Amino acid sequence: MRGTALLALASCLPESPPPWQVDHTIVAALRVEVAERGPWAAEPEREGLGLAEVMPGDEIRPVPFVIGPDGPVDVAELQPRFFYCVPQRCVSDTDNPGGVRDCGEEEAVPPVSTCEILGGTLRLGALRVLQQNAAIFMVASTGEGPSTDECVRRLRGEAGALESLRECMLRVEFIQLGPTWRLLVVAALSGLVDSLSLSGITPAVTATEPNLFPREPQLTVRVMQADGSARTETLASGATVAVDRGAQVVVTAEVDPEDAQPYWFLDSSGAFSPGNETLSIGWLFSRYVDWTAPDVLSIAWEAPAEPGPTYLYALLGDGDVITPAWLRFEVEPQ
Amino acid sequence: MTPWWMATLLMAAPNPDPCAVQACAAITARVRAAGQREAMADTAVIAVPASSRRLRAVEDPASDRPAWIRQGRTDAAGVLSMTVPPGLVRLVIVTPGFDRLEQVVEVSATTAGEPIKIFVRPQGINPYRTVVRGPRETARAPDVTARTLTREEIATLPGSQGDPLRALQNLPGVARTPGGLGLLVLRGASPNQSSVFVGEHPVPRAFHVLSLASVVPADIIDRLDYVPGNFDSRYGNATGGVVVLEPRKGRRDGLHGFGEIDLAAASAMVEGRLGKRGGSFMVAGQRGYVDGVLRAAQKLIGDELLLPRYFDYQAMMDHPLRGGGTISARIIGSGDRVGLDGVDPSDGQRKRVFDFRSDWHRADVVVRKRVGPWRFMVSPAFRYEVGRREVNEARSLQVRRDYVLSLRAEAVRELTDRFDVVFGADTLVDRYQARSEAPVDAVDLSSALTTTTAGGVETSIGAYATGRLKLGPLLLTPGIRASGFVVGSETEFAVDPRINARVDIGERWSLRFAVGSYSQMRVVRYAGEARLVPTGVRIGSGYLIIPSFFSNFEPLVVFEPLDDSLRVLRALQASAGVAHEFLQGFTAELTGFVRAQNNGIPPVVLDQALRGATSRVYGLELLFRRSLTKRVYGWLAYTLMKTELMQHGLGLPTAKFTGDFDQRHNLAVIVSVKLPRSWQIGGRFRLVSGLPFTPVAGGVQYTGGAFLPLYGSFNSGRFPPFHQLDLRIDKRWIRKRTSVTAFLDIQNVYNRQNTEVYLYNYDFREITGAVGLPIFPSIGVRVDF
Repeated sequence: MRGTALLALASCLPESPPPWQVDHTIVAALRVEVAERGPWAAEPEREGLGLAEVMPGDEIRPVPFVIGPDGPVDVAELQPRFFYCVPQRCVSDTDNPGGVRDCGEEEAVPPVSTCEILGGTLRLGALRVLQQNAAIFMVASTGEGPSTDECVRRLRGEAGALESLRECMLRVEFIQLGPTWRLLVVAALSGLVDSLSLSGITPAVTATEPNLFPREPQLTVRVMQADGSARTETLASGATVAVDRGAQVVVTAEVDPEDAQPYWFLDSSGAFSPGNETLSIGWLFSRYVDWTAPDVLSIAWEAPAEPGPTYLYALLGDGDVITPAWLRFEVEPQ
Repeated sequence: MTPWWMATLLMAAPNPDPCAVQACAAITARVRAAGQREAMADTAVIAVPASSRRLRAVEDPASDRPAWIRQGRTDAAGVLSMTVPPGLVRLVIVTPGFDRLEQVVEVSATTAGEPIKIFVRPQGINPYRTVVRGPRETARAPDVTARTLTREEIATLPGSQGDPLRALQNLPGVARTPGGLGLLVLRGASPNQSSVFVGEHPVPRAFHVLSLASVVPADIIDRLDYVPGNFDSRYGNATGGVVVLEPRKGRRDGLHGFGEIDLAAASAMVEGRLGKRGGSFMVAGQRGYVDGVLRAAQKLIGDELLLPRYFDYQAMMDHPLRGGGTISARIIGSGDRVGLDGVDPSDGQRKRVFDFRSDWHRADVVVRKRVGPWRFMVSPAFRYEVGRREVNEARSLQVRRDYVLSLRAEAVRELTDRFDVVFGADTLVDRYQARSEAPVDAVDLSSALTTTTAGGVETSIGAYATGRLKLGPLLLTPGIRASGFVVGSETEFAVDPRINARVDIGERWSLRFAVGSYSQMRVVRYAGEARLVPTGVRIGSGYLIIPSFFSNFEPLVVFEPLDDSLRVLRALQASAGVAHEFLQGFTAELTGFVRAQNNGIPPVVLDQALRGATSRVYGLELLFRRSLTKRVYGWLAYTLMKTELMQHGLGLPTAKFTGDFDQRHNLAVIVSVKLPRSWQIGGRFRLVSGLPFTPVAGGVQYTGGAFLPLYGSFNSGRFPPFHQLDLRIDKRWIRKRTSVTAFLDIQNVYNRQNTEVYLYNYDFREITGAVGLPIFPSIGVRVDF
């Protein structure tokens, strides 16, 4: 009897929509891209792929991918605000009642203090500390609740309604600095006290391709309609596919195997060790569907019984950064 | 007192003594109460001639006058000896609280028969021999304002399942615990700031795992004394309140006991006479097997559940000493296990992922003896505790063993009828050994194991003097207590003066005042501390916000105290109240209280230490009570309370927060009525403010996708108000030598959806309330002999 009270408590927890169901506006990815390469920047060897790691001296640009139940959201309409910060202090600095300073023409890596990025880009300055991360903190409206400026005011406690931040989007994205060996060289040249030995930098290390964003995947869609007919087509991100209610759909991301890049990382002894990226996809739906994942790059699902659009978002990741893609499925009445 | 009908009978029938005109035979009868077989002393028995063995309806003495009447009374052992004319004789017993009994026996003129066995059936439901003691009658009560619950009240209180400490939650000053579980929060004090004593010594914890049941059952106690604040100097090392469970002596009128079984636990008890010089014994045990029930549920719902199980036992002996005095020996203990299973993906087998264990065993002796005008009491005790936590996945193991010696010695001198003094000392020496195993590399779990061991001694010593001075209508209880606390090389001292007073105004009014200082040892930091339930936890993709109450659920296993971590909590308590006794057993008490406390340690709030935090609790308690009577008992208890936590320092102005245990309004109404034919029905209604919690203002998403909560102001949120009605129906069948009690206990009769926890979704944008216990009927059966 007494134990049943515990059982009842444990079993009475309500269920909320699963994280893969996009029932409200979210930031699916925040890419930090190189807008203009600086003197220490690595040279991408493959065309069409952006650098996924940045160096002091680069001009960077945060690019969010915001999605909702009705498809990708025009970020410009949300008027997001970006802050350049040390990850541990992004929120605590930004919520100072007095606000934070505007970023200067160039800011050290990591920043001395949190600043707001105005104009959409930020020029990174000198490397100040090697063994500390830098980050971009994004504050944005969802488009339905308070405005972005109101979100910032609430974050600072100036609106007196801290609890209502649930209607705001807050995201901290670490800035991927590197390649690591280049960073070590910059640290050594800058005379940083926490710089590490350069002895591990071998030709193999320097010859490795810099970290790149994975290429935007094309998506192969196989549809088995309720009447037994089937079709397969390969589509670019943003395409629309018509499906019947209850149709069985299999979507496979076509990726370039070379996007799973080799890399070198510093181990605990300070030596470089080799590693290899693994590509995987996170799938998000704008509606609740029954799905299974036959492999890491595919998803099989059943079109909902209700007509209307269903958005499928594919977030292709290599362990560090994400390249998004999406399809619109129009479920048609039979 | 002779009943009216008997007086009528005797007056209407001035028959001559039949033994003066004919030979009479002696008969002997043992008169006992049916069911409990308790000897009925000083009970009047009427003997009249019977025409047949068949029992007739009640005769009208005026129209059906018997030929003769004999009357006798039982002795202290319930034995009746009388002489009656031989032949068929009708024995009649009518005594208050029992059904009328008629029994026809055949009396031989020549041979003396076996003693006649007579069992008189009680009218009410009371398998619990109860000693009701008010604050005025006992020298042992922890304070003049102590409130007492009797065993019968505990046993039949709706919604408490006969559990003594959960029954206590219906009194003023005691907070409601979420989930229908047990936890003692007295006047807003944290559970670890109040002490629960069994006899002369504290128990390390009051409740079994997840607070499913008290570690001591109601059947072995004589009474429960409850002081939510301003307890006297006999008790120390607590800054909240005190609860004293006073063990009772075993019965000496035969072998008695009970057996009880339900879905969650089985319990049994045996008691009886020990030796011929007045000794008695009592042995009881309880085994909870909730894990079995939950394991079955686990298979049904597919989710992994915590699997708790527990046991407790009590063996007690009381015996008179040669030359006066008594000796009592007690062995008590309890144990708890909590496990969590998981499916090993490598082989698909279900394996133990997490194992939590906490046991304690205590042996104590109490010797009481009067020497001249002095009364002495000495009670040594030894307790062994073991706490163990093993997380198989992380290959970590932590074990702590405690060997605890405690002693209480007391001398009482009654100087005059109006003045007595008590001198005493208590000490508790805790020698502990701790061992910890974990992989050398916290990231690489396959790395070699490293073992760390530690050990030391934690000691608390107290000396006290208290007295009772009666000056006309004024009763003063001044006292002082000096305490010393030692942990490793650290030492702290405290001196706590206290005074309680009661003024009787006439027969029915009394005023009560109390003020005192209280101290408690607190080890601020341990090398390891394992709480069973955190206040926030990820459940699947969601995040569960649980009231701070839950993190106090037992057991709590701590390991090695760190250096510079001994602190003393200091509290100043004051209370004032007025009590009035109405006619027909009704009493009313109104008490105001305040407790200001220096926590001695900054509590961690929002991951930020609050330097020099203090707290303050103040409120009002109202108790309108109908004492246990023949037919009805019940009470209305209302508490109005506010708890505040203050932040000082950090260069900021003093900031106030709501305390974890702030239940602003707490109303409980209890009514229990005894009905004919051994039925009893009771109800409990509660209306309580929701508990505070720290809301999540929003979620911050970090690289990789994980959301972390962004908390709002500390304890600025509050759960919705709680209200619930519980009903309980008891029916008792009384046989000559046994009684069977069945009960139906329905919790949450109107199925109120009370929110007990909140669940945020993965990005903290949505919040949903999770309800507590739905309507929940429970049936139980108990056999007493």
